[in-house]
Amino acid sequence: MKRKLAALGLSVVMVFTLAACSQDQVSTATQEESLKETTAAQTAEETQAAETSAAAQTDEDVTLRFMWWGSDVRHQATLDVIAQYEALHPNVRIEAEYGGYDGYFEKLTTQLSGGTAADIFQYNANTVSDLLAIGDVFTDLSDYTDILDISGFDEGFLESFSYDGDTMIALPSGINGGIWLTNTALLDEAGISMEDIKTWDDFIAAGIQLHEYNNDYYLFNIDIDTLGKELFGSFMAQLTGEDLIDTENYELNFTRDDLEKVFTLIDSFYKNNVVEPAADSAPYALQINTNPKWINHELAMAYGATSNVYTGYYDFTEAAAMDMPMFEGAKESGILYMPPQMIAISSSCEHPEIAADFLNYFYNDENAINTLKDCRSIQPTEKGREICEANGYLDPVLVSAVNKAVETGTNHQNIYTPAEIVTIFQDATEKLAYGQADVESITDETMTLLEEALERFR
Amino acid sequence: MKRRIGKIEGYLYILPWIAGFLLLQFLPLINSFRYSLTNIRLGGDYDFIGLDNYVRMFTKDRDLAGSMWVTLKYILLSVPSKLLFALAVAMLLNMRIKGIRIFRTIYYLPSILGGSVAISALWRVMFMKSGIINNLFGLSVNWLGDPRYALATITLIDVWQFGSSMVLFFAALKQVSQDLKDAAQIDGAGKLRVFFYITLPMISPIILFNLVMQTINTLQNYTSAYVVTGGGPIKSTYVMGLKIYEDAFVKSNLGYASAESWLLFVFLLALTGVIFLSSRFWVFYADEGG
Repeated sequence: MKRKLAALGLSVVMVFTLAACSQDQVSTATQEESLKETTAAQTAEETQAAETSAAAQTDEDVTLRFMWWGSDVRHQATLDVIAQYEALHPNVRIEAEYGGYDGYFEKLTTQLSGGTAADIFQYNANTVSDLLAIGDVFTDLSDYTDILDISGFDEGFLESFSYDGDTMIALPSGINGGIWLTNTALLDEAGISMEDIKTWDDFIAAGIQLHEYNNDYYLFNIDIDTLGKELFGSFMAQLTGEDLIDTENYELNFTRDDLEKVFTLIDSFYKNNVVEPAADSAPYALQINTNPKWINHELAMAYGATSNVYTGYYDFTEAAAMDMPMFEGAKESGILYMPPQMIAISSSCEHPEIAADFLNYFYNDENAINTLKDCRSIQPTEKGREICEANGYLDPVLVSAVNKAVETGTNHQNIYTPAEIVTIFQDATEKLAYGQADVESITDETMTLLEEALERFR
Repeated sequence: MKRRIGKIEGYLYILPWIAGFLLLQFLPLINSFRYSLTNIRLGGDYDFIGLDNYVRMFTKDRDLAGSMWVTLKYILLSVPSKLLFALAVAMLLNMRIKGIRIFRTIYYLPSILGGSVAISALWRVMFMKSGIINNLFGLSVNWLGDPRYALATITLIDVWQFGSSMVLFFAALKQVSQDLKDAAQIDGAGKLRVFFYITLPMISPIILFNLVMQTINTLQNYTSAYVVTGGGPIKSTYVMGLKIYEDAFVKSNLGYASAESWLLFVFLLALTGVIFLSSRFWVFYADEGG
């Protein structure tokens, strides 16, 4: 009995010891943080760089979390801006949570529904309807415009993407355009002129010509996910001049004939070797620049968003941004023109004024702009663009694509299409790409699936 | 009085497990069934809709049957391959050779690394068309892009994590009486005969245990499919675990995903039931006699 009690006692002691260890660790960490903060405070005092801001007006220690996705270049630039802000505001600590986009949306929605989302978070503009469906997850930024200066943003751009009714839910992280990034030397080699490609028929003819010139060459580098999502929306905007669905009544904004026409186009890409066979390109989905054929200059053009075209994305010297091909009698350009991402403050944030102050630094401070450069595409503020242009941070090919998007970007960007609907288009695109069935039956099946899904939304 | 204290003491010992089980397993289990009868979405309000989710599964979900079929193929490919491989390696490591302990440690390493996202990402790069596997063997197989090979490719990741089964087989092999083998050999049995008539029956309880555990693990696993192929191409690796994940967290249909989880649970029960029922024909328990 004594031995048993001793063992029980030991177990209890062990549990408490472990708990105490964690407490010790916390205490040590707190001490280290406090030391770090003191050092940072001294540095800030020495440099006398502290500005009058919400964070400077309070002595309270504040910890915020900032979550984003991106490439290594974006991560480093964002971390540097955080460090700059922390040096200026010693009482503020910003914990960075970053990674790739895989699983980001799922993580964000789960955190938002559980009330554990980061104080400041980045999201994809076209996922906003899924986020709004969760509930009241955004802080109204218009309550903080005395701290967060939004005068440098284009008003029309903000109106299109930043508001849910009267609530300003987020700010764009940049200006993003769809880019048809073209290796003109490769086209020239096959006797094709980029300027001659005006319609989708021209596009397919050019694809056939290039592949006939050399069996290893394909005109178009695209992955099924993008083709079935962004480009699908663009094709349909050209045909209908509308978003894919009417999100108020959950009705389709296109007819079966429209759908069949778009599917026929996608089908002809694959049947005519305009794009590489789906099985060969599938492993490079969402990373089409890593496709060895692209690296070896065997694929003539890639479609994507300018925010995804980072340094090293392409290495051919004769690069240009082609105009997006059109359907005859198109009602809209179909050209992507939207923010690469949106940045919001969550409704669960306990210090929204400090978060707004950080965003003010992030968007408007010269140091921050010089650090962030074009890591989130072209800067969203006038001042940001001026600084980037003056310092030559921007790739002229990307600038020309964004300028085209600004001038002729399509009005309907499908930002409110729910993810469940998007996956139906992507699944259908994949079936076409792999030649699983004929266009007609895939069109019928897709219409049925859409109606069933929309019925649930209604 | 003494007995009573002893009883309380016993409960105290198992309290952490009981509390953990109730809070982290039992409660979510009950909740998931409750949710399966609702139309709950992430963060949203919900209504009870009876058995609608279950009806939808069998009448309207065109991916469900395909996904169940892929899951079954995944189990049939993965579990036997893994067990055969684990048994073969365990037999090799049961030999008396110099430095055998180092080999045993090395062969267990893949299981420590596990089926993590990092490992899956590494396999993805290795099995690309221009990856190291094709280059090493001079092949041009489209492991990840061709629906004929994609499932087999992600199965290989599972087989690679054979360590835990191997350790159990190894322990079982150590328990097989040398006397029995010697007696069989004296009677003229060759090595193959000794293996099939002595070793295999003696370790059959461990085979059963491994079979059940690995079936459960494989049915729940979706990391490899999620990271390596994303369920594609054309849903050839769209296992049920991945489908449930996507329905819950991409499409935000938590209620429907909960119903699918219960279907998977019933499927698992049926599968393990079949394994247990069949076990009386092939599992030999020494204490029950021959």
